Amino acid sequence: MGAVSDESLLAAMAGGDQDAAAAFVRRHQARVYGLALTIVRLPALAEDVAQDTFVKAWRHAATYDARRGRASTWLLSITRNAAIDAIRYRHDDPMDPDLLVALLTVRDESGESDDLDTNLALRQALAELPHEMAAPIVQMTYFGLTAQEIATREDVPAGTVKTRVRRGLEKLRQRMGVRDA
Amino acid sequence: MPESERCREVRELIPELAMGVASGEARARGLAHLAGCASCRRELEDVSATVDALLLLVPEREPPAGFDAKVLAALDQHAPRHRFRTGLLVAAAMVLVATLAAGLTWWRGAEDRDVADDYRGVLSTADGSYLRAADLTIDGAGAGSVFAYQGRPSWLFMSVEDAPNGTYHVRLVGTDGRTRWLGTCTVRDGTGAWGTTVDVPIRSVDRVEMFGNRLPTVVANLRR
Repeated sequence: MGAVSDESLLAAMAGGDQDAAAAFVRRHQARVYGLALTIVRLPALAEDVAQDTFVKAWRHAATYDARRGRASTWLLSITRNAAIDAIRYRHDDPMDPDLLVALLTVRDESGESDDLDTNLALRQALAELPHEMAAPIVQMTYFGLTAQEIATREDVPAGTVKTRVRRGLEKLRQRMGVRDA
Repeated sequence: MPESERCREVRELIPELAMGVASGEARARGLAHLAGCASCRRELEDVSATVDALLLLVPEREPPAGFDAKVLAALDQHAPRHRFRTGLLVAAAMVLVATLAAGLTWWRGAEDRDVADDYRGVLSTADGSYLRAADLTIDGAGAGSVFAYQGRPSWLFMSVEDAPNGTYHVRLVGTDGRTRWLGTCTVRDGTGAWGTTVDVPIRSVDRVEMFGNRLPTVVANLRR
């Protein structure tokens, strides 16, 4: 099954193919659970979120459109939204953004990593971003905080947060673009 | 407002739009502009791609052993043939609940023992052992009822009678604090009905919770 594309597996899942569903789950479970655990931090809750993600993916498999992005990013956005719903519902405090930036920018030195060049470039770019830009970017991306919520936490105007996020994202894009070129 | 100024305003919003955290009003304003502005749409696509790439940076973690089997069991539970069975189950639940309600009304004023016998008789007919009913409430105000049935299979049936319209995600919270997502219940015109099988003992359920985007939380305490 290793050579079968995600798109084919999703199409087969939509048609009720259990083997395809099993292959899809096993291929993506570490990534989905990793993201869920990063956001919600409680293993049991992360497991619930990850399970919920695959049920949702299966339900919407028929509507997945490969032209709009890779299956893995589609799946991770479902995971992110489910995890954010869970922490918002529980009123949990999100992880310290500096800690998260540190976690995201650690390079796998084991030699077994299949980290893409784009990921390496992005890790480096994020690590080099000033704290006041990196922190709100990860707070919005991973924890779904709005500019206003971040502004209240950091005691700065919401407009300042928006500008920092926008400039920070531009810098990240430029770095990714340079590497891609 | 000149076009460039509108673009500038919407571009301020684009990161929040790409991350799905913009307010409803801002989202509506942004999307109205994006529909007619190719340049801002390209900007949104670029920012969205960066956000997607950021999510891929999270370290992978293997879930606990048996996770894949649990997911496959959950998918199987939601498979179309089961949906059909769930439909039948909801019908069966409604009949059982109606029978019980009729039985209890009929026996009102009779000896408690007779009521209990009738209850047991209905459960026996339905091959079940336990039925709980609880009020669905929003901030303490009645919003409907939940019936939880211990049998083969066990099931949960909810009847919403007065709640804001929308799609609610339904979950069980166990007495051990663990949560289990069951599915969604849609409320239209203030009412809705939904049911599903559950694979945990009803006695281990502390409460049923329903919540959705910009909707109040609806709770039924089954332990009360």
